[in-house]
Amino acid sequence: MTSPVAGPDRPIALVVHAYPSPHPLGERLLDAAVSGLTPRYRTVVLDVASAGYRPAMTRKEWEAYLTEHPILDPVVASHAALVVQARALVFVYPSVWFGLPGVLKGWLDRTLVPGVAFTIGPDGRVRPGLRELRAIAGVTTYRQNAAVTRRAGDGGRRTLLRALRLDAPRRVRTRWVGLPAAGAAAGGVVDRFVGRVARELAGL
Amino acid sequence: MNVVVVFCHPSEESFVAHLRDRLVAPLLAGGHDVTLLDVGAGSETAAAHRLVLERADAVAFVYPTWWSGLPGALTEWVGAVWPEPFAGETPRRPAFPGIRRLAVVTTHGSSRLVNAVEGRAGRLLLTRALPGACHPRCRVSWHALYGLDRARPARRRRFADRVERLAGDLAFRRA
Repeated sequence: MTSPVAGPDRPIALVVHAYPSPHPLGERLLDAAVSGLTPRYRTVVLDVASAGYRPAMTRKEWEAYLTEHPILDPVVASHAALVVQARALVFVYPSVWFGLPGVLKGWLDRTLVPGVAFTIGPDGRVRPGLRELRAIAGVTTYRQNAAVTRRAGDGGRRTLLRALRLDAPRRVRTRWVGLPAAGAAAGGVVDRFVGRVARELAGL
Repeated sequence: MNVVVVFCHPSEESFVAHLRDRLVAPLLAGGHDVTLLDVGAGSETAAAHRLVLERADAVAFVYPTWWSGLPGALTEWVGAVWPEPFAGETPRRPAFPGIRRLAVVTTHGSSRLVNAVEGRAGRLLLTRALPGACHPRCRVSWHALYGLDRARPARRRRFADRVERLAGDLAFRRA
C-alpha cells in the first residue's frame, strides 16, 4: 500500500493491482495508471497478488457474512475502509480465461461484503452502498486475440463494469483498456498500449 | 465411469454442500468412480488435479455464484489446473479429451434478472470457455437456483431433487 504525497482535499482513487511480482509489463501498466490518475486523485495502490493475500473465504467469514460484522481479517478491514471512501476504483490485472484472476475475484468476495458495497434491507432487497464512487476502470492484458475474447464474453469486464456497477450511483463513469494477445504483442504495440492507459485514466 | 465433482464452498453446513451430497450419493450407488475435489480446502497441487481430469469421463462443478462468477478459490483453481491457450496457438489436442460431459450446479443469491444484468461471467467461463479443453462433442448443462436468499424451503427441496436426478444424466454409461 503506497500513499504518495498529495493534498488531503483530492479524492481517492483506489488501484487494485493483481499482477504477480515480478511482472515487468504489469509494473509498467500500474505506473501508467498511477501517473494518469495522480493529477486529479490521491492514488492508493493495493497489491493483492503479492504479500500472501488469501483469495478463499474461510468458514468463519462465510458465517459472518450476513451478520453486523462480516469482516474478520484486519487486512480486509483496511481494504474495505478505502473502498467506501474511493471516488474511483481501478483494477489492473492479467486476464485468466477472459476473466479476473482468482486472487482478484477473492478480493471482491472478501472485501465487497454487506455494509461495504451494498446493504440488504429488511425486505431482503439489495441496495447499492458505494455512495462515493464516481468512476470504475479496468486495465488488463488478455492471452487471446480480440475476436476470441469478445466471443468468450469478456467475463472480467462484465464482472467489474456490470456486476460491480450495480452497487455504485447511477452516474458512475466506466473505462476499459485491454490489450488482446498480450503475449505475442510487439514492443511498439505494448508501448502504445501503456500510453493509452495513462491517457484514459487521466480522463477518468 | 470416472466422474469428477469439483466442489467449492467454505462451509460443510451450506446448502451447496448438501447439493454436492445429493449429486454424489446416487453416483456412488450406481457403481461409478467418483473423485471429489474440494477446492480451497486441500493442499494438492495443480498437477495432481490435472491428472485426475485427464482420466475423467464427466465433470460436475458445484459452487455458489458470488459477484456473478465463481468464488475466488475456484477461480484460482481453474486458472491453475485448466491450461489456457495463447492467441494463435492451436493445441494439437485438447487438454482433457476424455471429458464428454460437463455439468454446472450453482446457487445465486439474487434473481435471474439481476444475474443477466451482471453479465453471467461464471456461466460464460464454465459453459463456453472450458468446454474447448474437453472432447469436441462434450455435452454441457447448466443447473442454477436463482434467488436463493429469498427461496422458500420447498423451492430448495425441488432444486436438490433436480440435482439428484442429474446424477443419472451425468454418468452417461453404466458403471
